[in-house]
Amino acid sequence: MVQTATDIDLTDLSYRNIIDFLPCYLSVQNRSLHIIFANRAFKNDFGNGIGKPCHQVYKGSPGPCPACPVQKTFLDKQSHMSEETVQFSNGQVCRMIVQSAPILDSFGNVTAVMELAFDVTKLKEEQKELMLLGQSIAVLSHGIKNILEGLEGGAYVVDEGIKTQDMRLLTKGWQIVSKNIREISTVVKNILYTSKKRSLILRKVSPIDLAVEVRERYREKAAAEGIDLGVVFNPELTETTLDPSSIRKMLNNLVLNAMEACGRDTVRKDHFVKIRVEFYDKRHLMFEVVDDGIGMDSVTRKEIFKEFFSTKGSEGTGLGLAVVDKVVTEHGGRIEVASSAGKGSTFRVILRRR
Amino acid sequence: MEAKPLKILIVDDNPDYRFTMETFLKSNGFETLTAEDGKMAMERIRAERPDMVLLDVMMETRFSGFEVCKKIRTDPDLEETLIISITGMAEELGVGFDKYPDYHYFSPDEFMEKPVDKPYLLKRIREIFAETAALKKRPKWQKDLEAEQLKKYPGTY
Repeated sequence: MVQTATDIDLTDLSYRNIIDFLPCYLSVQNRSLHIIFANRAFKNDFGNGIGKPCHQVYKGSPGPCPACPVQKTFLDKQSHMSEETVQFSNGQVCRMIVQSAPILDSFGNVTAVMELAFDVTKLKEEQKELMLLGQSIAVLSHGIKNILEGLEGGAYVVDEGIKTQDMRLLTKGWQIVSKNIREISTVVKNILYTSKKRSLILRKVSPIDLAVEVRERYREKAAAEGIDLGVVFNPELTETTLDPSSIRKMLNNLVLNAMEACGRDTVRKDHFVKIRVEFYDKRHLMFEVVDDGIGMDSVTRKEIFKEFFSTKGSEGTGLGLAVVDKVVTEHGGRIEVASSAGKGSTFRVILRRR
Repeated sequence: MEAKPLKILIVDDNPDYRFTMETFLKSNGFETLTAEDGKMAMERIRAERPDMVLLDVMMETRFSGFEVCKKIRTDPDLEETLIISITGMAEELGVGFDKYPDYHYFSPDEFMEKPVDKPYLLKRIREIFAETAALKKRPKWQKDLEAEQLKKYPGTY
């Protein structure tokens, strides 16, 4: 007798263990979708949901999901599958494949439905990346094609200049050629930067010096476009540990974007772009790039850090801010954007001082 | 050959592109005008009556090449204005003309893709001008019939 009881206990325990160790979320639900059993993984990530409706625990939503597989299983005793976006109790959102199976009594009636959910967030991300890759090749080749057309056009003007001995044509043509060479080099550098995993080369540098270097680099271009490009800094900011070459890249991209935002303003002519270097708080410093260009609406603001997102039509490759985002992430910093359509934008990068 | 050089308006938002095209067309004996957006293009078309418009369709400006095309085609005064549309996007980005609400008004005399092959462009410009000159010699009754058609179905050609 005792022997048998222990046997049953052991069997019971091991079933329980197996279910708890399943690398997926398992729950059993009744007809009103209330959870009557959940495994350990489920309780760990979604809290103890026993007695609560499934949709409330998984999604915090008041009603059942439109594609609820459990309801279908109650109706037809078959297994069903759906894809859902759910939220862990810590707030993290993920994508799940949900599959249901009936639990039948001895008469063959459905007494409850078991639901298994697998986290496919990673898989979905990879799928999206692949899709983006296809799109990106299209956008990139388009960007490069435009630059090539510029080069070809510039070369044509140079040829004409040589043919007619016209110094004005020669100068203008050469300007077009060099501008496009600069553009293609920016594009290629950005592609390399976003596609490679690299480690930071950290050094003690003055953040102010970095900002001033970037200002010097674009001083002429800014002046030619009627933009007042300046650096504002707090002289008490001391040297800090950064990867100077990536911070320079980051600032370059932010400044170029800011100047483009000014250039695309068809109403006003005079603009400013300011690079501000300042304490954020005791432990952090910030770089701000402020412009009074065309600004962005809230929809655009959400999309800007995605690779290959661009509002610049034929001009952009959508890599500039992806580079900025990468540099900031690598430095363990964060980025804030304030912008208002028609008034201008501020990009603020907050980095730890060390 | 012509007593007066033919006038071509270059509409594109890229200044380098406009300059290149101007240089190219001038060196081949045409008179050129430029406009950087659709609005400016319409002003110049109305004021200076170019014989042909080289029209960039995908300008990110106040109004696009599509609208310019529609305005020209639906204005009986501008009936004789020839249009070559040039687009740099369609193929790779999968931007179809049919995504634009007014695309059925989009009836240029020639379509071209960027990058434009200059000798081919020149050849087509000359051919189109020659065809148009030939068409002008049609008998009056035929012209009247066509004018009637245009009134009934504005925007068709």
